[in-house]
This record gives sequence, C-alpha cells and structure tokens, in this order.
Amino acid sequence: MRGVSRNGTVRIAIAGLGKMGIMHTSMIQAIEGAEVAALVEPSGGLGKQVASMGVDVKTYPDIHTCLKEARPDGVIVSTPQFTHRSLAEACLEAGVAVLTEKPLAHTVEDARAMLEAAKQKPDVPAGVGYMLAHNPLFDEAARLVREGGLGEVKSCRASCFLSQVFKPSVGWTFTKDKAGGGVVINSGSHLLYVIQKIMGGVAGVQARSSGVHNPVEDTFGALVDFESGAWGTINISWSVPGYEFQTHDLMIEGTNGTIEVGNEVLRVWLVDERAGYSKGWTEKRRSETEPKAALSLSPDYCGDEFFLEDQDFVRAIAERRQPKVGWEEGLRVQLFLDALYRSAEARDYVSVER
Amino acid sequence: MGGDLLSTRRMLSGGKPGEARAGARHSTSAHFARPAMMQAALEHARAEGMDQVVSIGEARLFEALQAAGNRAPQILPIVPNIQGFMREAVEHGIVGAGIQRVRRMGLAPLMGLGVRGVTRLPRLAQRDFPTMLLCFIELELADFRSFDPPAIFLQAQVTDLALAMDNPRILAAFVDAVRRLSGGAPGFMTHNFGRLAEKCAIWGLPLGAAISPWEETGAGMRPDRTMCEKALEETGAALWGDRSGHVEAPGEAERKYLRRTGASGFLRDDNAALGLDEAERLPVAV
Repeated sequence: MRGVSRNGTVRIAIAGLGKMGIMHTSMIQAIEGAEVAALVEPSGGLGKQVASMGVDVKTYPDIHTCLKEARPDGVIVSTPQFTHRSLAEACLEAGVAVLTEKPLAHTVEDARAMLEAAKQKPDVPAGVGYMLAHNPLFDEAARLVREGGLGEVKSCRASCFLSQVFKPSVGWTFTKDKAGGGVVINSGSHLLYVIQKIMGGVAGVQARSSGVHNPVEDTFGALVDFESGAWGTINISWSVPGYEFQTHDLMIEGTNGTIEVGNEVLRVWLVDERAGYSKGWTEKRRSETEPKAALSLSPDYCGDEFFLEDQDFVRAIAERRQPKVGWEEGLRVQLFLDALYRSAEARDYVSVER
Repeated sequence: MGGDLLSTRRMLSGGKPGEARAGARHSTSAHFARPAMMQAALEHARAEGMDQVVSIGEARLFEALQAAGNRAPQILPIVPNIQGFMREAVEHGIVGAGIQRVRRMGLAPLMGLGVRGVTRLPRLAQRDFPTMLLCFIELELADFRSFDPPAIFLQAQVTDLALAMDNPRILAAFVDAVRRLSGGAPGFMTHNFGRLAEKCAIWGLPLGAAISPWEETGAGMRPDRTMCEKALEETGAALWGDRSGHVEAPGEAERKYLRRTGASGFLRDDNAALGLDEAERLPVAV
C-alpha cells in the first residue's frame, strides 16, 4: 500500500463531481489531517465549478492519469455505480485506498469481481459508503438484538421513503443497465444494509415492484425470511409526498419488547429490564448521541454520518487498517438486492445466493 | 429583532425529522396545503408574540402573507431556495440544474440585474459557482422587496458549504448582495456556529445575526457547546436557537439557558407555535 504523505496529511482524490462528489470534496476539505489532492471528472465544466467553490487542485479527465501524476493516498469514487468496478480496480492495482459510494456495484458480478480484487491486496483499505454504519442509533439497535435485550426476535418492519420522483425522469439513475434498478438500489440499499446489520443474514425473499412513473421500480415491497427464523417486511418508495429527506425506519418485535429506530431517534420498549435498558420506554436522539461530526452540511439528512464515514476512510489510510464497512459487507447487500430483484421479476419466492 | 421567530419549514415541506411516523408527516403536509391553514398559522404566531417569520420564498407563502395583511408576522427571507435546486439536481446534475435555472430566468431578468448581470455572463458561462449563486440570490431577493425585510438569512447548506470549502467568496457575495439590494441586515443560518464565528473574524465579514442549533444539552452545536457559547459572547451576534426536531414548545429550562448565554430567542415550528392541534388536523388514512 502507498504510504501517507511525508507531512502526515492524507491526500484524497475525488472521482465524480455530481452531488455526492461535491459533498465528499467539502467533507475532506474540512477533516483535520486530510486534503483534497485532485479531482477526476471527464466533464471539464464540473471541474471548473467545483474549483470555483474553493478547491484549488487539478482536475484530471481519467483515473489513470490522476493516480500516476497526483499520487493520492486514497480515492473516493462517487460516480454512477456502473463505473465503480473499473475505477476501483485501477486504484487497487496502483495500491491506492478506495472508498466507493453505495451500492458497491450495479451487478452482483461486478461486486464479486471487486471483492476478489480487494482480496489480492489485503493491505489496501477498500470501503463502501453505507453511511448509516456511522449512525450510533443503528449500532445500538444491533447491540440490543445481539445481546438479547428484545428476547427472541420474531419480526421486523422496515421502510425507506423519499419525495423525489413524481414524473417520468431521465438520467442514469433511472436506467436499469446503468443503475441496476430504481429506488431499491439507488435509495433503499442503505436500508438493506441496516436490516442485515440488525437482523442478521437473509435466507429468502418474496418481492413485488412497480414503476409508477418510470421503467425502473419507483415503489417496492417484500416479505423477507431471515436465517434466524424471524421474518420481516420492507416498503421502499421515492414517489410518496411528505418526505423532504430520505427516511430509514425499522420496528423490531421480540418476546421482551420492541425497538423503533430511524435516522433521528431510537425508541426502546421493554417488558423487563435487560441489556442496560430499564423496563418501559427509553428514547435516544441522534443529535444527543456520540460520535458527532466536527462539521455538518446537512444534519437533517445524515450530515454527521457523511463526515464520520470520510473521517473513518482517512483514518483507515493513516492507521493502515480496513474502513468500517468493507466490500464483503458491500457484496452481502448486493446479494440481498439481487434476490429482491429476481423475486420481483419472477413474482415468486427466491433464496439469497451465497 | 428579538423574541422567538416562526419557521415555515414544516408548513412548506410537510414534515420534520422529529416526525418519524408517516401519518404525522402526511397529516401536516395535507393540513398546510390549504392556504387558509397557512394564513391561520401565521396569524396565530403573531398573536402569540412571534412578530417575524423566517422562510424561503414560495408562492403559497406570499399568498398567505397577503391574505393575513397586518395580522401576519414580518418576513425574514432565507435565500437561496436550495431544496428546490437539489431536487432538480437529482435528474440533471448540479451543473445541469444550475444551467436550467439560469435558462428559466431568461435573458431579461439577467439584464434586469443591470450592468452587473451582463458583466457576469462570461463567469456564468465558465460555471463559476459563487457567480451563479449570486444571481439566484439577487433574483430571489427581488421577490421579497415589497415586504421590506429588516434581515435576510443565507440558507444553512450554502453557509456550511462555504465553511467546509474555506471559501470567503461565497459569504462575501451574499453580504454584498444584501447590502446593495435591500435595506436589511445580512444573517447566516448554519449548523456550525463556532466555525462561522471564527471564519467571519478572519475574513472580515460581519456576523450580526445567525440561526443555529442552541440548547443546553449541546445537541447539534458544532464544534461543541463550549466553543459556540464562547463565540456568541465574543461576537455579540443576535442568535436564534434552531429547535428543528422538537414537537413541544420550549420549556422554562430551555428559556433559562437561552437567557444565560445571551441568545435572542428560538426559531420555532413546534405545534404550539403553529397553532397545530392534533385534533384539528385533516384525517389522512395511511
């Protein structure tokens, strides 16, 4: 693996300057001990616009030239998912740490290939941007389930809603070949990550989907069987009103109580005191729970989590370790996604591949 | 300015992060879709002593303000309307959304900005972000001119982007536009008050008014509560504590913290501020 720069500053290149690329650029600028070393974007206009926001670094038209000339310590890949594999493999090949935006790829095939490539370079940090991993409320919900706070877990209800798509839309996000699907892979994959984190592995699914306005799915529902024997339901849509910011909500039921957890609040109700929680209701707000970000662009939608995710990547490079969410977990989400899409298409029960 | 400010955020967006349940969000959204309900909320807030309302510019707000007449609070604009812009960016990308917005303005409004508008065309063609932002701000300010606002706030994500990017040009452009085009004072919404105070001092920018998270638990106060309190003491800015996410009205303990730290009041959109009684909301099946 390439070492950290001589002055101790971790130098990060940002590949892809859409909405997420600009967000990552600003976060890296704000993280102590890190700096933006270069930008990668084939569209010259985007490079100029980001430079005018206050980033005085060179914009490269391709990743290979950037890796060769700018020699960054790490690259954040915030391009459309169908480009993740080639960019990430170029970074690994050069021994440069890489954090891809979610999902890991647009197909299981690409995700598997990326994981195989990463295994060949075990010392190179390789992460994926499931930023809810950095929200301590979901960590706490997972701990409660793991330590038996809920007793035997029976079921969960999970939803992800956003008010975004109310007409036929254009762009790669709405193209199956490039995005891999619609609302589930583009928005709901965060929820799928969290479901597996809390509930454990998924055995099989029975799913249905509809394109309300687009050829890709705009609304989605599924019944899920977990390896533990518990079951759950999932509802995901980006075509419902009242959700200016994307929500991720789970309700988990067990023999000793329930957990409701979302971006902002964790509510626990227990029949009997257990796992550090008293009987009855306990509520924790994200804004009052550590860790918090030193700087946030948008606390209403996971601003702390984006900062903490990038900070974790920078620290992983400096400490020569893997990021909090690695590509094995990224592939697990991809296999879950794949089963959901296969089931929706076949309108039949589908087992999750291993 | 002093006392609590009303926020229209919940009225215009139909929900807030604290309202985790779908039923509550949909109910709020449906309730305030009726201009008469928005007018009623404005009049209620004024009657409760909130003499000013902080808002982005939207047609139904202007309609409600006009209908309420002098029973409505005075408006303090938030510019630019970044939420609308980001919605377009999902489909068209950041640059695409910017270009679409400039195109929608047409040449006439750009010319209407005077010599400055014309001289900006080359920079707009170069996709210079501060220039593009300045055009949006100036055009949105024009919508508020007839209300003669005593203060205008820069939207939080723009303030915080400038802080993250360490770019004084963005904030300076806003201050300059407000001074040139209105009789109001420039203010900043931010989630990073400590850093804002530090940077304003370094960049030589005025920090007369700000809206930022402010509560005794330190929730949302960045980089931390101690730094924020120190920054407020040193700058002497008028600061309103943003209570986004709270459904209940501020209690006496919160008021006490406000007074102790020298903050001016709260930015409120809780049920009591909006005159929103659960029983009065439209029934919505979810």
